[in-house]
Amino acid sequence: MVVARDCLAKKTDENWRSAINRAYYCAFNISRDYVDPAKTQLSNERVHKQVIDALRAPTRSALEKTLGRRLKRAKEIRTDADYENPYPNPTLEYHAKFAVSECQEILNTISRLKGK
Amino acid sequence: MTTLTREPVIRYSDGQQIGDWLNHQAAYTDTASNIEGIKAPAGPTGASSLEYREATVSIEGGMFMSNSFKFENSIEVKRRIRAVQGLYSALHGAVPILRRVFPDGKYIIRPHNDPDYKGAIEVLALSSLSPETAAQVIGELDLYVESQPAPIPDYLFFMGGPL
Repeated sequence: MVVARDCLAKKTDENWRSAINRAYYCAFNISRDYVDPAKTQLSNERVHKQVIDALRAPTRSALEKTLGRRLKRAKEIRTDADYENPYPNPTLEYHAKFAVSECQEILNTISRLKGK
Repeated sequence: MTTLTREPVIRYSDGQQIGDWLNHQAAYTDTASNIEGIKAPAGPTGASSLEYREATVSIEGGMFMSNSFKFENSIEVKRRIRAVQGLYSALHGAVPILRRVFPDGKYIIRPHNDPDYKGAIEVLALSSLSPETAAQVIGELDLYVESQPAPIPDYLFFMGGPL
């Protein structure tokens, strides 16, 4: 997340894209560790979707399910940032800041959940 | 994601401004120039007790950047208006959250029209909202939705600009 914030500060298109990417992968990896700490349940195939689905499973708490929603949104923004050129929205800076905030919220929530 | 690049003023054809969901005024957009609007009695009513009207409204100075707002014909408009009535009931509890973030009432809630998001609804912010605030309020909406005993469709949050 430090790298993501550094990229945000550089205020260029490529750095905004990188900020989105770095923030997402930080949130994704923390989320993956949260749902599968022993790394025995999730395969590498479509693992991003697996993590989101695991967070949104009916047995999860409402707060955990919000993590799945946030991660799904961040993933959609990250996919656009990585593959779309030009970016399909004129406000890449806005979405970069949004994605970093979303991912930070994911980290904060998981930290709170682990602290319980 | 959809972004409103300029802040518009949206009114019914009779001059009444749209956007205050607490009074059950909602807007429905087609392209950049017209909106089909609905209006229903105030109060936390169920979908069956809501009344609606079709109205042509205008966007003054606004510009939507989206490929999802299209009405093919009036039947489609009516179908979607009925769909949005159910949405009002489902999301009524989220009004305090939205009113706190948008005290001027500048937001729209409606079913999403993109086939990729079938069954989803969208919250469109019409006033400027910082990305950090957007992330906060979306989290509150997430928690509200996930705390409901009955399923609520997925929703998408569309933010207003400019920065």
